[in-house]
Amino acid sequence: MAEISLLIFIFLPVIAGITILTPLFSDNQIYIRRFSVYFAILHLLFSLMFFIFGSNIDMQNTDCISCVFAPDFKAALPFVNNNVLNQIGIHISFGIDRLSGLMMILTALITTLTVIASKLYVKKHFKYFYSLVFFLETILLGIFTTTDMFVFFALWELELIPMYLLISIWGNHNSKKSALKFVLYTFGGSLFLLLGILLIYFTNFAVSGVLTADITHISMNRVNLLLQLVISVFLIVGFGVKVPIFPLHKWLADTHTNAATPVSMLLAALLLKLGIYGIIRFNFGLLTLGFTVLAPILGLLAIVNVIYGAALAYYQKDIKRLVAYSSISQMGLVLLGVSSLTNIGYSGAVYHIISHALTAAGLFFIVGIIKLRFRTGNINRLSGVASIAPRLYGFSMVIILAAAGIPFLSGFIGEFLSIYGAVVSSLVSFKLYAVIGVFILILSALYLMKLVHEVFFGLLPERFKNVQDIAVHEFIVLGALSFIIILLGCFPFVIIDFLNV
Amino acid sequence: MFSFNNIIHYLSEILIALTIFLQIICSLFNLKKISNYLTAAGLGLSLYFLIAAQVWPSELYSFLFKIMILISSLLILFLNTRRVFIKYTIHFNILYLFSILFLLMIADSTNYLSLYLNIELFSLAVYFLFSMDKRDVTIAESYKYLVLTVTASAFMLAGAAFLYGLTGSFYFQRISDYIKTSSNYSFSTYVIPFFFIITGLGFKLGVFPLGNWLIDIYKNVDTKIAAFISVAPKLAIFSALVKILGSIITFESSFIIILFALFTGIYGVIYGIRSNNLKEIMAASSYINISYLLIALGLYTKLSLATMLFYWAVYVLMNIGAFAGIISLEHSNQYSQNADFRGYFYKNPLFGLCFGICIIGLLGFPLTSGFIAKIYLISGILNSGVIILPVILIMIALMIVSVCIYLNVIKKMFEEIPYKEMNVIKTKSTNAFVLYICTFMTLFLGILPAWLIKMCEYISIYI
Repeated sequence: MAEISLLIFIFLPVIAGITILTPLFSDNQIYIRRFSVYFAILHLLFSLMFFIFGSNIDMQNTDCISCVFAPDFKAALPFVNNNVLNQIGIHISFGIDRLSGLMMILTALITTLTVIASKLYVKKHFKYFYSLVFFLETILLGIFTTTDMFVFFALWELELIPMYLLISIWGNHNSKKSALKFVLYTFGGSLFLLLGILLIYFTNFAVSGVLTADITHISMNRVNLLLQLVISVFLIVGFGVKVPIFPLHKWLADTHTNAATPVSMLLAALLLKLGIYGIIRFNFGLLTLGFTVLAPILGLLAIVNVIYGAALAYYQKDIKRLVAYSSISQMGLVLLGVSSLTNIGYSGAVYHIISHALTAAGLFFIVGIIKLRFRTGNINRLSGVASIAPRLYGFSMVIILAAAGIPFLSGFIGEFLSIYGAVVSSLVSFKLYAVIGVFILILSALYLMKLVHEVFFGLLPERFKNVQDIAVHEFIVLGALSFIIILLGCFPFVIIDFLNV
Repeated sequence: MFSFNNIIHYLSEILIALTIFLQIICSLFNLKKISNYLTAAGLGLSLYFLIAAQVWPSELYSFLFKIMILISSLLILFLNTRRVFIKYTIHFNILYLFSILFLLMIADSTNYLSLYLNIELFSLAVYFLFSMDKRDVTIAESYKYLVLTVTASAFMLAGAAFLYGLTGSFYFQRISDYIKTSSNYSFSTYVIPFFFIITGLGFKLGVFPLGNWLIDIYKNVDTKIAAFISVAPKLAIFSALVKILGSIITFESSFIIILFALFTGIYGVIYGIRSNNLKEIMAASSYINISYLLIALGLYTKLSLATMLFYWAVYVLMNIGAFAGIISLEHSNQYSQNADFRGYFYKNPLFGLCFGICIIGLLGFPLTSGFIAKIYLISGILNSGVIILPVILIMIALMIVSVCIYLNVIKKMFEEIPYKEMNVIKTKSTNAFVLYICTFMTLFLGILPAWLIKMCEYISIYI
């Protein structure tokens, strides 16, 4: 039962997307939006139901990812191992452990909020937009749940098609160029990923004699260090494009600036998490020995990410670019947590993934609202937004403070745990990274406070007198985000306990 | 000796020859209407008898190549043509069938003399096909092609003569036997003949320093003939190359072929990145894909040959699909060479989707057969050892840049322009039929490729 419901859960959005695309479906924007919003909310509820009930089913199932994955995790959810389409030669199988369970809920949540938020930003080809968002959701759910490496890779590349169309069609006049950049970077990285996956496949065959692509059955422990290092480097180049790790980050700011607001939300909240998810699953889970050797270098890159992103964010004139560079900085912290190789650091990284997804989606939405109402994104030309839009100001403060890492908001827990993980790490270099990281966190407060100070405070120019405050659907999105941010900030152990049972 | 017992092995060739004869009779009475049906029936029957014939396991690969040649020429026959070609339908069909006949014989040839003869005859038939519309440009280009191709074939003949001097035979099998039995074999003796032969055959494939004719021909001749030239002769030459390399494959010869392949790929990428013309993009795509295929061929392991066969089967379909899309675009723009296809998708979503799937397949995206072919090809190449890793890294660089080339097409397709400026896409139903078949097969092989992969691996065991 659980197996079938997981499959239905993954492929339901595709059915919704196809339903929207059929010629019988109305071309009216209102109907399309209504259908999409109701469907997304139902899907989100389904994900919660599945999560609550699924945790009680079949606890004794031994065929779970944690057995191979890492000694720290204990899975509670059963494993789906479907032999659907087995004749391909590639074994299509889906399964969830704690991490992918969380990512699934996050995907459903962010998609729902994006669908609600896209009311004012999508002005053409409504059918194509909403169906592409649903196709993307299924692909993301597939990536987070599949256990077969080749299916993972196929979905990893497949995600580029809806993303390319979403960025290029609904973005501004420069969006086609930056969509091409996005695809080029990701496609280039994914070929290295393919190389790494094929090497794992062949090496596993050479070592164990079993030709399988299922990561639950692959064991790379007996492979020598040099080969593990080579494979790890290939994989990190592939995943690093998505994170993005320092030298591979060039696509991010342009893509965000030129994409439409809902697409930016999806990109920052979900697409960036794929890279970290891949690093946790493949590098951390399969190639533990190679990852241990590479960890100090990754930690250094993470610190560079944090500094570089924060410094660039501070000097941006465009508020959307500022938020985009802040993403690079935040993802650096996540990478620091993962590469510290401690249980706490891992919890912090996963916590910060979720926290950053919420804050980044919120920040991009706020920036979108401001850009739409005030017709400019230039930080020098905006001021006094708080006086004319108090509700927007209130929600914005919650989200911005969460991003800055203020206690009792979700961002604090993630940042704290990531750095704490680096402190307790057995590697000496990480203690140094932790010291640098703590000081750098001031920088993140600096650029975010600059945003608040320049945009929200100050005198309102005469030409902005007639601007409206947020509408109902925007209130719902920002309210939901703020609520979850405060909830996670006050009760962090809901997730931490769940990860470390 | 000739006997009627084994006539079934040549039945497909004989049927094509018979069809040519019937076409000549048609031309006496000017029966234009049945000429096309006759050609299609002849090709179809010959395909049927080719499949029905029993084949030696060691000849299975040339059998597969012949099947691919016949299927591709059958599909290309259904594409639209210029008005000039409609006027000379029967003449076109005769020349078309002639060139297919010689291609089948190239794929089957067992010695250098028959290979040379068939290549020359094919070049002659194709020369007339190129210059059929009698424009100054095409006449000049086809004349250039003829002169160059004769020169290149002369190189191949010189190489064969060298080999004859060394081994005493023109037959691939006997040369292979001689090399295997001779005690002091060194590749350095065979470098010059090998180089000459590769020069001659590489010209036909459009390998880097000799492949410039390909761009001019693609750009100037009728798109239907460009589609024909883009797959069928290369299939036949590859079939011959598998045999030739089987006789004299060593580490050094692999190295030379892979070097040629890499240069071709790099040239194609550099050429394609700055071109806006769809046909130039197809020429660049031909360079890039031939380079991948040559790398797999040059390694000459069982798995790499299997991946090469699979990649060919996939590439033929996607390529013809893309050409069908280009032809329909040209139709709607009054045969302009620079097909303008902005807003193609919004005007005709089904057609745009099919064309886009073919292009995306060439790119190697999931759900299309190009993706499976890409994974399979890289795994086949990687399987021959870690020493090949630099080659794979260059291949990856080529793939990354080729994304740029293909995505330019997709980008324009989704560009939005005012409704008035959009061209109405009028196309013949046969052309759409070819595009739909190619798209369907591209998707079908992307989802269920296992049967073809198994077939290719079975064939490659016996090479």
